[in-house]
Amino acid sequence: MKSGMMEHALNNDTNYLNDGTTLRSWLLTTDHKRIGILYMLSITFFFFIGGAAAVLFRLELMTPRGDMLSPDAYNKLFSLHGIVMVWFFLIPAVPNVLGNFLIPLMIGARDLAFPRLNLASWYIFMAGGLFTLLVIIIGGVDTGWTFYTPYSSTYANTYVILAATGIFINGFSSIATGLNFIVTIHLLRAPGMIWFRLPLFVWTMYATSLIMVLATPVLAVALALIAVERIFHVGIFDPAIGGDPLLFQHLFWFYSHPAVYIMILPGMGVVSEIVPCFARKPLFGYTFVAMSSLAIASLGFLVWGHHMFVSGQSVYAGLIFSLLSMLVAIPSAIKVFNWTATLYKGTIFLKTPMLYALGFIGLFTIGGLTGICLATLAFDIHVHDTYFIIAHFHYVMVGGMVMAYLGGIHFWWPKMTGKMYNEWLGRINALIVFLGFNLAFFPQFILGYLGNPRRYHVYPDEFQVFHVMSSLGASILGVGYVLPLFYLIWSYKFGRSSGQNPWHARGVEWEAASPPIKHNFYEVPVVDYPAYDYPPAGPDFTMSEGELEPTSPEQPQRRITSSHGT
Amino acid sequence: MSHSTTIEVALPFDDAQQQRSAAILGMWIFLATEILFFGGLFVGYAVYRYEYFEAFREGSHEMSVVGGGLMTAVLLIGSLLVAISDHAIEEASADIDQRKLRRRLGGYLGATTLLGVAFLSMEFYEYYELIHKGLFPGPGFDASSFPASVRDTQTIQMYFTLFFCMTGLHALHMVIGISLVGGMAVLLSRSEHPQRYANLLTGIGLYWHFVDVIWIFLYPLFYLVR
Ligand SMILES: [Cu+2]
Repeated sequence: MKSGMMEHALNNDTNYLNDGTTLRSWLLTTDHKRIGILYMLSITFFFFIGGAAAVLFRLELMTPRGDMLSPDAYNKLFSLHGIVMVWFFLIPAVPNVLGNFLIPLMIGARDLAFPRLNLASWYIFMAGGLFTLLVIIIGGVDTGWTFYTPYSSTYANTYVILAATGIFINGFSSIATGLNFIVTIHLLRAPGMIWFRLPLFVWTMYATSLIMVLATPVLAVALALIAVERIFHVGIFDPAIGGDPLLFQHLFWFYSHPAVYIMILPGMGVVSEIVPCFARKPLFGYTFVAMSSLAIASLGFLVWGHHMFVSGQSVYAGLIFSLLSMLVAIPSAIKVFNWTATLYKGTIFLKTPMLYALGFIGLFTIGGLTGICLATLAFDIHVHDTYFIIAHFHYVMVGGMVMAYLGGIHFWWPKMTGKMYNEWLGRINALIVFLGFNLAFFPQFILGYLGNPRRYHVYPDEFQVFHVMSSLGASILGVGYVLPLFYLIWSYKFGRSSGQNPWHARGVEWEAASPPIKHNFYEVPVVDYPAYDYPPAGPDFTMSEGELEPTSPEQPQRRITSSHGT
Repeated sequence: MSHSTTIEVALPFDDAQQQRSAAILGMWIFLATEILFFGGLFVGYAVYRYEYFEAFREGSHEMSVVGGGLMTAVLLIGSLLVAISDHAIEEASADIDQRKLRRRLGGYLGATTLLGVAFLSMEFYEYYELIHKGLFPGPGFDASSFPASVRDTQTIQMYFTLFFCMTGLHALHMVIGISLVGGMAVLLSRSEHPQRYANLLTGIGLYWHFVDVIWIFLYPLFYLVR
């Protein structure tokens, strides 16, 4: 491992990975890059726990009858899948792994503003996660990830309070991370790194952090009130003693709709980095894309009622929420159009990260457009609580966010490890994920439209063919998620050195060594150029033997302060 | 800054001024999360007050306006003392008599701690009285002393549920605040260079003021509006 790193850390062979190799040096680190790696390992663990639950219930759904799982076990499994995937994978995925690792590198800082708070956030995250796992081991919870009252507060006889506690604890980790990012982006930008030179990934992280900080406490109080109701037998949400069960739905979705954007904005940020690099063009409409992130974050707080169209809320509220929900489509479409415009007449290199990014654009568009369908009152009433909903949000969260996360991991893997994975395996895997995903979830649109409700482990016989397709697709998807585990670890151990900047990307993070040294830069970079300053005219690269090769030997050089560039 | 020489600048920062800005911005963002946290409960209050205004009127008659007013006064005096300490540590020049500064800060913050304890004692006494009257919500709630309109529907319980939830959460914040301010009183009265802790004191001060402001809203909602 050491010999491989000698090549690109010219001054000496220390970098953040080998600067201290004891377990203690990792568990007590305050280096944002190491904390990012700690998060990466932990969310991968949780991802496979949540995935295992999905394997079990997809297996059950191969036949129309309940032949493998009891109804209770089925309920507990989909609740487990939702809770773990939402709070312990999707929400921390890009922010806490890539955001932690990249924000200081991208803005030219030595670390996040509060390094110890950053480490504390990881411990809080692990405490919340392990607590939730403990709940699963002792018996689980069957309320679904939404904890709807009065079922969760009055009737459920599973471990509701404990599960809520795990999520409550985890919320502090989200808040700490969001707070840290906001302060860092405000105060620690390198000289010359003005707001409108920030990479769009940083803009989306900023918007995401605002949501994390402002929405998470409302979830916390909603869950706390469920606990209070169960412990003291009072009637906050129990209609029998004057409570209003809808109040819970309002509080829950006031958090959980914005949380949907915690789960997609970071993915949009990743795609905004990958697309210009592999189209060799500046990102089209930078300002619009940057502002659309803030628009999504702020509009996102005003649309929660679209989850409650059939709950009995006033029709006028329904109308307004429907209209506002459709408005969110505008900033989302701005992003999709600008990525597409960036591709237009670009010199496109279909490397692994780009395949994921293109997959994201297509699948997110399907997820987004079906979202507009669902924001339409009449259509929503037809498909409410059916598989159509499941398909819609999996297109956004799995087709969107997980694709973006994998794309980001492949894009910055050389930055994180200094190693290059096998490009062909990477490309084939991106294809497996894309195909498996569509086979798993497209049939669910049809199922939902035909009226198959979600959250049942039995269904009418005529739906079986779609369920079998879906389960098959899920198993292909599973392969696509396990494979990178092997080839990425293999590349870390035995892969060839990637060099400092294998994609010839223009972001500030690529001016640090790969992997970076402990405090990122030998000298603080000075930024006197815009983001994505890819040469505007003509292709500056060709692909030779699968590698990006400059067409002219003289590439525009940054006035980097030290001499270790490749 | 006059005392920048005595402050160790943490790694990610260029200078003491930047570090101070970060500390204060971080604290304000944290307080924003706290506002949203209490916000959920205030929304609950708004909803149920609108639905059951009669119950809220009956419930508030059980509260002692004078006692609540006294509690408010105690908190506000504490806030004033924290503000004075923050000002003192900010304005003190490097060559000031450190012994005198230590004594002043220790005195102000020690007094604030005692006022905080006094507030909690009064609040817990009020809890004790309400529980004694059978007004703690739950299966043991005794609604017999209320008019039939709010008794038979059990809506009167909602007032007390919210009262105990909201003031209880506030009391929890008070406990944290008292520990922090008390800890600062001890730390600063023993420190060689109290000014090294100026950022910490400002942050804790902001938190203390925030907890007071929450009470400024709770007092009228539960005591004054009848
Ligand atoms: Cu929503």
